Amino acid sequence: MKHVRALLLAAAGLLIPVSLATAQESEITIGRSVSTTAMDPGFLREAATIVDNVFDTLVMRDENMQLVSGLAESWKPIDDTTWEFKLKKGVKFHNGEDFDAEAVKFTIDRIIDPAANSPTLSYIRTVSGVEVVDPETVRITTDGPDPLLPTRMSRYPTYIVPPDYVKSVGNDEFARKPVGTGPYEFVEFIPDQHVILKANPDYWRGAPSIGKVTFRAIPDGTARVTALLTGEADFIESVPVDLAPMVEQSPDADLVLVKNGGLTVYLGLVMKEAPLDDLKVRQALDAAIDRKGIVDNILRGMATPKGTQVGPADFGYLEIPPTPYDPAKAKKLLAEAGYPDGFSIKMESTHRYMKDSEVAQAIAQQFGDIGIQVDQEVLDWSVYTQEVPRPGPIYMLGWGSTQTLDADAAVYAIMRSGEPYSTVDVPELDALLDESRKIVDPAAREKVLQEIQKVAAEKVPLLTLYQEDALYGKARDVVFAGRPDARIPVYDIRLTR
Amino acid sequence: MTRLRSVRRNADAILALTLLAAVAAMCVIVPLLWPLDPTRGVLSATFRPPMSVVDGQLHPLGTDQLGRDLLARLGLGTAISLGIVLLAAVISVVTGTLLGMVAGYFGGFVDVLVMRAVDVQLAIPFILLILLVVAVVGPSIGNLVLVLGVTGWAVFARVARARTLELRELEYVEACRAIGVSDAAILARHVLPNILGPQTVLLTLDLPRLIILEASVGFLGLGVQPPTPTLGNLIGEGRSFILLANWLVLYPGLAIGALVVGCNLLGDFLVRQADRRAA
Amino acid sequence: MKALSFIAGRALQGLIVMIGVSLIVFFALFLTGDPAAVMMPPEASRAEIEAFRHAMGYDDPILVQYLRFAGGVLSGDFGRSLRFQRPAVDLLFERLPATALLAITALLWSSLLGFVLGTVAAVRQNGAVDFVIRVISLLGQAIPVFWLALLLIIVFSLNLRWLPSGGIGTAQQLILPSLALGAYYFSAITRLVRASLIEVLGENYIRTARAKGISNFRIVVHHALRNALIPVLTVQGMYFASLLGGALITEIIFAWPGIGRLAVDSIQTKDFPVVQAVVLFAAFTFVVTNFLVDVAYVFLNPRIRL
Repeated sequence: MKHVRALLLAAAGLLIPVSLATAQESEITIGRSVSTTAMDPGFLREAATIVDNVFDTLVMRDENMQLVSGLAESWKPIDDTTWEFKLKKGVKFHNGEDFDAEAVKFTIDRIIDPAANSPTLSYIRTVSGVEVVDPETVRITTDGPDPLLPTRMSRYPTYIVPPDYVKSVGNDEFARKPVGTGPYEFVEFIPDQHVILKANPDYWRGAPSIGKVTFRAIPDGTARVTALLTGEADFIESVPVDLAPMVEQSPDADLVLVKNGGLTVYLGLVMKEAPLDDLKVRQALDAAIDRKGIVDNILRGMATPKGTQVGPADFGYLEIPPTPYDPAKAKKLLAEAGYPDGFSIKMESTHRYMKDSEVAQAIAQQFGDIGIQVDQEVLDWSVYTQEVPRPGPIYMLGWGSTQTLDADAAVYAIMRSGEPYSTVDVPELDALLDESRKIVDPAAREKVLQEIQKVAAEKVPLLTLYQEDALYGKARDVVFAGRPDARIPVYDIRLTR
Repeated sequence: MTRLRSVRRNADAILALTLLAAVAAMCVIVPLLWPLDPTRGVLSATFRPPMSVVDGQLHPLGTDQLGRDLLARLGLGTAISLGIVLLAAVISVVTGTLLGMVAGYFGGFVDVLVMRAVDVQLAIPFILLILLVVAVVGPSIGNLVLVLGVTGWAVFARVARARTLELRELEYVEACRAIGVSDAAILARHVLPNILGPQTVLLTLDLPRLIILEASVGFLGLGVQPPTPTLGNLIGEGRSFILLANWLVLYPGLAIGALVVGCNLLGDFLVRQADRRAA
Repeated sequence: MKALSFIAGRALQGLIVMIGVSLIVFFALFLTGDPAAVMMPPEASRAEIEAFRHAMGYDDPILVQYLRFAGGVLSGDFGRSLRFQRPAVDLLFERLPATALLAITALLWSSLLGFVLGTVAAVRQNGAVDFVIRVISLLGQAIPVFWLALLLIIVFSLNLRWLPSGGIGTAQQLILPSLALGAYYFSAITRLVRASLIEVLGENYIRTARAKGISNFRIVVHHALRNALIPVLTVQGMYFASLLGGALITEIIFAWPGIGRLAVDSIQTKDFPVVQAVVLFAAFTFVVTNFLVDVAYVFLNPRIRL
């Protein structure tokens, strides 16, 4: 209950103008759970938290997740496969370079160039080309009809970069010293230590209220919370669930909880391999998991057990209750499938999600209860992501659609056979998923997206577990309510000191 | 004065043996007799402090993040860690002694080769080498034993060689050689028995290093995989909950401390005994 | 003359050791199977891997590859980091000052305090002070660095709020990590100084000096300590290797951006050029330190000089 109050207070705080400190003196330190390796927004292999403050996109999302004007004044479809964007005038990059249509073309061209090997190319794979009409107008063409194109222009990899600067310093140097049009200018980057930004006084939405931002890498959760409680950090990402009550009770700090603000965690199953090719075995595994017990006891209620990979805020969401915990039924199904004495199988997990190692151990124990012997392996996240899809045969992964708020992002990549992250092989799902990408009419699309979730619940191609909440910790004098898309726009944060 | 000293010397030895015996007893008694499963927990009874009672069952050291009994986990974990360390030590002592004896006895090129290998081995930071090998070949108990053992031989080789050099010059060894006793027989019958004493002392002093090394690998999460406990794993996993349940880190830390203090005291005692005998 | 040839011999030995280390470091990469497969992104095609292998020269005879590697190392080229896409040696030298600062601070306080307490304990042998010092040094060696580090954070950062729990930049941030890292050396040095001083104090020439009525303080400082220094110095070189092991864990816990953390991250991400650079550098430091110890040994111990 207390975090609800904190949320309300924070929301109320946003309404009161509280810019007592001048831009020069105010600064904020943000403790991050991962350390940055590079800041080229076209080639990110990590969350865009920092570059999000340095760069802008053509389209932005407001705090209610509605698409609003960013570097583009307006946009409209010209025909089935072309979108036209009218750009803002007079915007400059931090180095004085002009923002114009050429910059947009350069930005997108360098990502869709197959030789560039951009790791996030898949987010804009539908884009086939960019045409400069005049300095304030660009047209983006797509392979087929793409109703989601404006959304794709609201997130990485399409942060607009300065062509002359990138060309003159090269990609490697650009990734270390980024220059954008955003509210904050890059100052200093020391790997594994910090990234420092300073306010861009000429920002086109007005000068930011906070003068200096330090993003500190504090990988250890306990250390991160300690830093918050001792005042070394003003704001921290990913508060460990077990320390959330401590942050809540602290007189110096507040917990910010964004319900359903995190990823939907699931167990991937390599469906091609026996015994996971047997529907009854998959159903048995599904029924053997005590999702409620895990969420209540291990995650302290800071997640929601789920029956679908799609989030409640996504377009195309269908409410499907989580599979009930029924070990007796699971045992029976297993016997029917021809494994009355169970079998032994390997399960992989990593350090990335809330108490993932504990959850994996608890599930291994619950599988053990129905006679399935689990051989666990816990790999570091950086190693875990090197091999995709995981060899499994059972592996833990989290997936989300928080940045597009569309069911397509939540299911396509992990359920369409042949996609890099997918180990699913259900022809019926493939047909539906392909169909969903060809429909422009929203109502018809929604129907297909919901049908996909129904089929997934019947065929159990993977075991959906729960959707995490997002947990932030903030000092009392920081005003920020958290966002469902997990961004931390420092521009919108206020300090009341 | 001398009496006082000898009393203290013995007090050291008694303390050492008590500590080691206590840990050894825990390793044997807990896994064999304590009824609770170290890898199975009750999800509704997580983070119970020491001496808690859950459903009529006492948890003397409390429960962990998954409601597992810490005493059961500590008992098994210590046993596994000790097992890894002792097996690794055997590998170290055997390879080190053999190579050292051969190098010292035959001298020449073999000697140069072995001694430079010793230098190379000592120059590479153990922990990096271990982490590297484990990252490449995978973190199983067997791999850990091998890699800890293979990286620890150098010190034993050095001491064995030095002792062999001395023994080789002894009259009776030379006499054996003169009457045509084979080199292997001399090494086995006359050199080896005289080396074993010093090697045992060295082993006692080297064990703490191995214990802490193994715990460090486990602490970094690169050792034996969950849910199997080891001393390092227990601390590594408990570290995330240290503000909430310090007993998860406290007791495994005490177990490591008892082992290391015990070995150090015992080693010192053995060194003094050997010195006295020599004097 | 003898001293000079001794030193030259030791230098040659160091060189041989470095060649040995470079061989191990080079061949460790081949333990992984195919380095090209490890270094290429998972989505790379067979043809791309083949092209990369050829471009990197992984299809040349192994000896040619080693010589190329060794030649690169001698000219300061350790290959490029796969994670950062930068020369591995740049990354190493970027992190080096942080580790050096931490290690030197830890070494300084632990040696100084270790010397003082070790001497006091030896002079007051078997007294109450000796007992307390012995207990402290026993515990210091028994507590793993990660356990002590966590304890320090809880007590001094969280409860007392005297010192920051991590990061780098201010003197306050240096205190806890260097305390954690130095604890083991402090204990080891205390024990060593005590033991070797007790041995020296029992020798005949000290007894003679005592009989001549020279003050106890003078005996300890002028005669005994100098001789007691030798075993301490010898062991110091050996400790250097484990210093990196301790630094590695300390750096991870205190978010200290040094080469230990770089090494662990690089091992976990299979960024082998960086791992090679760190191992070679650590070995080099070890060899140089031990060489210097040997040289110092020559000057401290007149018997070797003869």
